[in-house]
Amino acid sequence: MSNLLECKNLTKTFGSTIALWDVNLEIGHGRIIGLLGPNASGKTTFIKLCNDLLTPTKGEILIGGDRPGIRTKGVVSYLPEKTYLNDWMRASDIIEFFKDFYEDFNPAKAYDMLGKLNINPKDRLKTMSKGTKEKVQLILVMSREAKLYLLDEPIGGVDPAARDYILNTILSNYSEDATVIISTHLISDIEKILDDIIFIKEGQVVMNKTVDEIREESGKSVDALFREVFKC
Amino acid sequence: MLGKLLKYETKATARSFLPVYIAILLFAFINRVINPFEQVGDTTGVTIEGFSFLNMMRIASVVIYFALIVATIAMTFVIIIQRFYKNLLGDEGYLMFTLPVKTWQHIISKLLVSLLWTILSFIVIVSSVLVLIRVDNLFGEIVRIIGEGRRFFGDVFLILAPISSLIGSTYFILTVYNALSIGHLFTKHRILASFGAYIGIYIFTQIVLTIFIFATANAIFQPLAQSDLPIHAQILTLMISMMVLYSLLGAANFASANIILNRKLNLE
Repeated sequence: MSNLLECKNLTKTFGSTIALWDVNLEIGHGRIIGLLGPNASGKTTFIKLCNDLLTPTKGEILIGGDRPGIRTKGVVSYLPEKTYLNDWMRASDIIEFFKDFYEDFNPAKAYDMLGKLNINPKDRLKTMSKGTKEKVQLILVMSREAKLYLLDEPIGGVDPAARDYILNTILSNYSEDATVIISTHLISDIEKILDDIIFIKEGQVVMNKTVDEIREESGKSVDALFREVFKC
Repeated sequence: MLGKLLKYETKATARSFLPVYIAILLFAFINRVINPFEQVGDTTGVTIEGFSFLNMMRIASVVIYFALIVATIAMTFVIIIQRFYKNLLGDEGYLMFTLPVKTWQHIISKLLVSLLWTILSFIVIVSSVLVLIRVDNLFGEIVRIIGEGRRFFGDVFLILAPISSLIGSTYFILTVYNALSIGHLFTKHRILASFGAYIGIYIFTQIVLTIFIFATANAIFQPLAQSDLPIHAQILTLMISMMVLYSLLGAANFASANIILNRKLNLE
């Protein structure tokens, strides 16, 4: 099967600062991938490039054979680290919004998840706490039946109980041939759900392996290996 | 997709405009009923006791009415800027720019909705004045004024005047969008940079206008300046050439903003 996501010599610089340098990657279907690296290693830049929020300085990204653009946006579901919700909307309004713009959005799923988390769809987003907004955002993103999910720090701002719920949500909401890329530095929390890991350091991929390979070769957990690779 | 963007853009802005429009018309009507202008102007027999609660109300309703008019004009400007800056270049941009929609459609949807509110704000303010001032035979007066305009400027003017103000507004809004986009190219002090960009574009426009006036002085401006009562054809030539010029400048602003948002987008 052809690759879902491909990067060729992908480079992004901001002035003289290098954010990503000559990254080559091939990512297949049906994987849950941890994009792991310390702060400022290029994780967010990579995800933004995939979403057409940044333009590569050199090289290219192909998602399902297309460069990031209108076609890829229809099949990529993206959770940014920012809260992007309009304050004036109610949760039900933003569900309508997603339904209008994304063909793969399933409103029933979204309402169901809101109910499970005791979030009233008639509540205004303005009155919600930061954590609740993050949950609403994740619900919206995971209610799409997308081919590729790009989740930038999805568990950074929520409590451990919600963290478990979110990881379960991710696990139970993506279809077999869809791929999920999760960027985080909270490795121990997500280690158990990962198939593959990509270690990224100073804008370069330093390791790209399956979790099983890591366990077999080094006998270590991903968390332990991370601490070793990125030792300060 | 453009239709959907327009729908949400209208929804997002209507919340701010509609209440103010209703308030203006309401206060125009209140002022018409209690007719405070006569009272405020009439100082004969004004005593401390005469300064009653009713008088206070009259003054208050006039003040509120004018404050609402100022607020509407200010709000129209602020929302033109804010919708572009916040919804596209702020955090909300993370959602807007990952929708399966072309960048130019975002710009056009913001532009069209801004134009809609500019026109509506104008209509509401003019109507409120008409409600307020009790013109006898209002319709007859309007017909008379339009007749005067036709006699002086010619028939075509009646069609060209609204079109040219529309082009002027479009040009202004696109200049603001372009200035905000240029400001976005900077990593720090983006708002300050946007101000600078606006001034830069303004100066550029003035230079283009000056060159245009010098280049066409013989054809357009000399006859206009020399004739006592300008003839219709002269006014027409001037208006049409200005309209073409501002359309081109507007298109340049649009193209610049579109290129920047497409290739140089860098949300914080």
